[in-house]
Order: sequence, then C-alpha cells, then structure tokens
Amino acid sequence: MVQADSELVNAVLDGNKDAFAILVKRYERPVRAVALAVVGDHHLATDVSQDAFVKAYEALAGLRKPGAFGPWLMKITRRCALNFVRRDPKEAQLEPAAAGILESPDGQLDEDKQALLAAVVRLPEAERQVVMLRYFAGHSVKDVAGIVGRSVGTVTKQLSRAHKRLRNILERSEK
Amino acid sequence: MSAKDNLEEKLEGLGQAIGSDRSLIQTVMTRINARTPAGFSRIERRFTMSRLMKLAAAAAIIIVALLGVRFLDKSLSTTYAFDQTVEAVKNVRFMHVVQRDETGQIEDERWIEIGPDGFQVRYRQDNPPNRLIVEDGQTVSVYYKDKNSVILYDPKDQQYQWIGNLRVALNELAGQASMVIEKNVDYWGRKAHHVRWLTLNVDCYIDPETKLPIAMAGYQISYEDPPEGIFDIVIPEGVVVVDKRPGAPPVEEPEWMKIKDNNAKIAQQNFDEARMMSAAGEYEKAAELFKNVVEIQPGSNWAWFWLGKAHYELGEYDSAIYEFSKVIEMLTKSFKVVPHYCHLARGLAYAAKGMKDMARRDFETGLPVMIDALRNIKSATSFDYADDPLYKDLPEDKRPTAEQSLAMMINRLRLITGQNFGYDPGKAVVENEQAIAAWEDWFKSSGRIQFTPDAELVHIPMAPSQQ
Repeated sequence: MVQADSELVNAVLDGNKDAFAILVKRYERPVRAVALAVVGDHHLATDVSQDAFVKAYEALAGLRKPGAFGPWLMKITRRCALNFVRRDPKEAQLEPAAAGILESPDGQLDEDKQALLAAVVRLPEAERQVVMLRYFAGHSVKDVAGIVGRSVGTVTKQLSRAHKRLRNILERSEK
Repeated sequence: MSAKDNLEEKLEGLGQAIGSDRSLIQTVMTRINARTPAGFSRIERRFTMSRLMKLAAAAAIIIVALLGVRFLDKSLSTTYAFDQTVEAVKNVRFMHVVQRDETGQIEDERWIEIGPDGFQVRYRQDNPPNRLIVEDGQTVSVYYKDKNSVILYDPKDQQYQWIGNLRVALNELAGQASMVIEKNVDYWGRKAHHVRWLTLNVDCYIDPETKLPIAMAGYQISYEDPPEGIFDIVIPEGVVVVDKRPGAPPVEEPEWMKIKDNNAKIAQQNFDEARMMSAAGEYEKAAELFKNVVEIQPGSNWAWFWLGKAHYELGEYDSAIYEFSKVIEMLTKSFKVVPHYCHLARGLAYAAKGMKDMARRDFETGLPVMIDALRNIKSATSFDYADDPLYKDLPEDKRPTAEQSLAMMINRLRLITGQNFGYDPGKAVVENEQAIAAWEDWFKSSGRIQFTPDAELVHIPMAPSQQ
C-alpha cells in the first residue's frame, strides 16, 4: 500500500528525512519532465531537478495543504528551470556545449516527444499530476489514487479527460 | 490498436525517454543534509498548522532564541559514540548483507562469518544472475555462470570481502566522535540512528537498542544464523574447473580468462605509470595512460578521477567535468557513497569555465565534510589522496601529517569560500583553534560559497621525516 503524499509530507515535517527520499523517488520523473520542458536538455534538467527538490524541502514547512505536494513541487520546478535559464545568460549559452559532452544515455528528446511533453506540461494541474505519476513514474491507477488522495474513479476520469485533451492539443499542433 | 492505447504507449515511451538519475536521491539528500543536518524541528512543523499556532510557534522561537538555545542551526556537532557499535560488532558471528535494485530485486547478497579475531572466516557472495563466490575457509570458488566456469583460489591469493574486514575497519573508528548523526529516524519502519561515517563518506543506520548497523552504504544488514550449507562449495557438473591453488596440477586456462588476466595486467601497468606521470606533472602522458585504463576497466573510479584531474590541469575542462561526473555517478549509484573530493574537483572545473551555479552546487556538497575535517582530520584523507596519486605508495611517515592535511584543507576552503580567518601553521595552537572555530561559525551562520582563485593560501609545513 503506497503512502499518500500528505502522509509523507507530514512525516518529513516531523523530522523523518527518509520520507522525503520517498517523495524524491516518486516525483523524480515528473520533475525531470517539467524541467526538461523548459531547459530542453537532459543534463540541465538533472541539475534543475536537484535544485527543485532541495528548494521544496526548504520550503516544505510553508506548504499549507500537504496533499497538494505534487502540483506545488511542479510549480517550484518550473520556477527553478526558468530562473536557471534567465539568471545567467552567459552561463546558459555555455551549458549546451558542456551538455554535449555530458550527454545522458537517453540523449535528446526527438521532436514528437518534445511536442507530447509540451502538451503534458500544459494540462491542468490535477490532470498533469496523475498523467505524470501514471506514465512517467509508472504507478498503477490504484497507486496514483493513493498518492494523490483521490478515489480510483476520480483518477480514472482525470486520466480519461487528460487523454482527450492531449489528443486535442496534439491534433491542433499537427495542423 | 485504439487511439487511446497508442497515446498511452507514447506517454510511456516519453517517460522512458525522460529518463532517471539513480543518484538523484543521494545527491538531493546530501545537499539537504548539508543545509539542514537537523531536519525539521517540531517548532518549524507547527508553522503549517494555523495562524494561532504560527503565532505561538513564533513566540516559542523568540523565547528559545532568548534562552540561547539553537535548534535550527547548521551544526555538525551532534555526535554518536561509535565505540558502542565497535563493541557490539565484537559479538557478531554472522552477517547477512543485501543490496536491492530499484525494483526490489536482489543485486548483491552476502553471508559473512566473522572469527573471534575480527577477520572473515567464511564468505558467500551471490550476484545474480552470473556470479557466485564462496569461501569455505580453505578455498575461494568463483563461479562464472555465463562462462560455465569455476575458478578455485587459495584465500591468501584471492579473497573477496565486504567493506574489508568490517570489525577491523570499525575498530579504527573507535574513539572518533566527529560523526554527523540524526538520532531516532525512521528507517523503513525501524527506529535507527543515522550516522555519517565521514572517513569513508558512507552513511549508516544504527539500531539504537543493539547498537549494530542495520544499513550501510546502501546495503541492508541483519545478523541471523545462515541456512545450513551456505558456505559449502558446490561445483555443478559439466563446468570447467580452473584450479589456481598452490600445488594443483597445471591446467590450460580458458581463452576468456587469459584475455581477462592479460587486460588486468596491462591496466595495472598503465595505472601505475599514469599515477607517476601525473605526480611528475606530465599530464598529457598521464591522460593517455589513464584513458587506456578506463577503456579496459570502465569501473576504475580512481583512473577516471585522475584522468579528470589531468584534463583539468591541461585546461580541458569539458573533458574533466565529464570524467568527474562519471566518478560521482559510479560511486553514488553502486556504492551509495558521495565522493566529496570529486565534487570539489568538478566544482573547480565548472568554476574555471565560469559556470558559477554548477560550481556552487558542487562546492556546497563538499563543504560539510571539508569543515568537519578541520577537527576530524581523517575526513581529509580522501581529499589528500585525490590530490596525490602516489599517496598510497608512500610509507606512513612520508604521508601528509595531520598538520599538513589541515593546512591543505584550509587552502581548499579559502579557494572556494573566499574566507580567510587567519589560520597559520606557524602560529600557536590556541590561535589556530580560534581560526577553526571561526570557520565553523561561518559555516553555521552563512556557508556562502565564493570561488576565489586568487585566495591567499597558507604555507604547507614540512615534517621532519619528509625533509
């Protein structure tokens, strides 16, 4: 039985750092996805992901609803990624060169995948979270429901709506 | 196939392409521990409750501050008396050590019998699906299932261990108090003390009742008696047996083994020569030789590291960053060890390229151990070794003294922080004590990274035995 995000967040706030490690593992791919959508490079996305998790940890005491950890973390990630690109244009120019050398085994995303990722990132918050947990992090629908603290039925509906929306976004972008 | 199925497939494919970084958890937790070793205090926790609670908590913080109690600082001062673990391990006869992959499958399982003298008596290491090693006390057998071959060795010639002879290794830590620890954390449902074994950069979890380690370097440890016959060497029928024990009749080695042995020999020769070249400042030659080593032995972390150092010295920073990143990935992934010295080295390479944020992140990872080394000089060993490829060849009396290690660490700190604090190896101990305390205070209150390539460095004193 998976632990809900809210339980893990409360455990972290009660001093259990291992609970945060579980959250890191759980949201690693969703966070990378959001970072990748902004910075467009695996290596930089790794660095942004690290920053985002560290910032989330430091700001965790200010999270009003522990159950909203996922969407909140995505916002932090996006901010980190944007800051990373904006903060130092000189550095941002230098980094793709380094990234070429530090290429991850996964390489760069091809165009189709970039388009799909951009569409996922544009989904409404709740749908984006369940899509990422289901397909990027590989959780079952039941586990996703447990993680986000919603019923299996609700998650199924959200996934279904997300599919419809993604197809629409992708069709529009193909025209 | 329906449109929905196709979309789901594409989403799953995207998830795979996004990839993952197995060292992420370790890196993030190290950075978090570096910034907030104590975790959230209960006072911080209450800020999430309500406005009233916020006010109450704020009041409590003010009172606490007035009382001069520091709950929220970056102190590294919490210690664990490691001697109790050393004592507890003395009574251990059997250890069962398991490492699993992310899906829960066993990657590495070991049974170890420890003799009354603390040394390994019998041993079994199973790395599914291909390798099984058994030492029954007289013979070591290595079964390469994919090669359908068993090699027999005398334990004096070839022995496999886990973190060396553990009890002997732990004994060396007796009396050392400078351990970073978080007491009574939840370790997968068990209460445990979280200890950082700084000398080896390894995290471990100690059972508060028995004082025995229940996890170390990513391995889970238990102390039950092994199943009957676990240390028996069983040679399956039909396998090729190569007996390398003294006195055994000579046998023709299989071709794959000849190639393996020959490659190992070439790698060792290249490695030894490369270290000498590196120490002599012949970085181009050293880089060439280290490259040969990593081609033959891609898992040689020190060859990768010194290859990176050679490239750094040659001004080839991109290559250096790549090679240092390999080391960091290798050690955090396979051994759950954070190579702080390598973060420092990579940070310097990033800094040389003007990539300040990347440099800062690496420096921040190394900083807590560097500060700790000011009082626990053993924590500086890996930095000293990283800076001198011939370190292990030196006799004990030629290796850096504690005073020299300290001065070298001060210089590293000055370089990445821009702080000085007046440490001087020529000054009296009391005056330098003030400088060390100033470093610690600075780390607790700020810890701000400021790469300062022109920092004033202290003179490294010569020891009489080295003159």
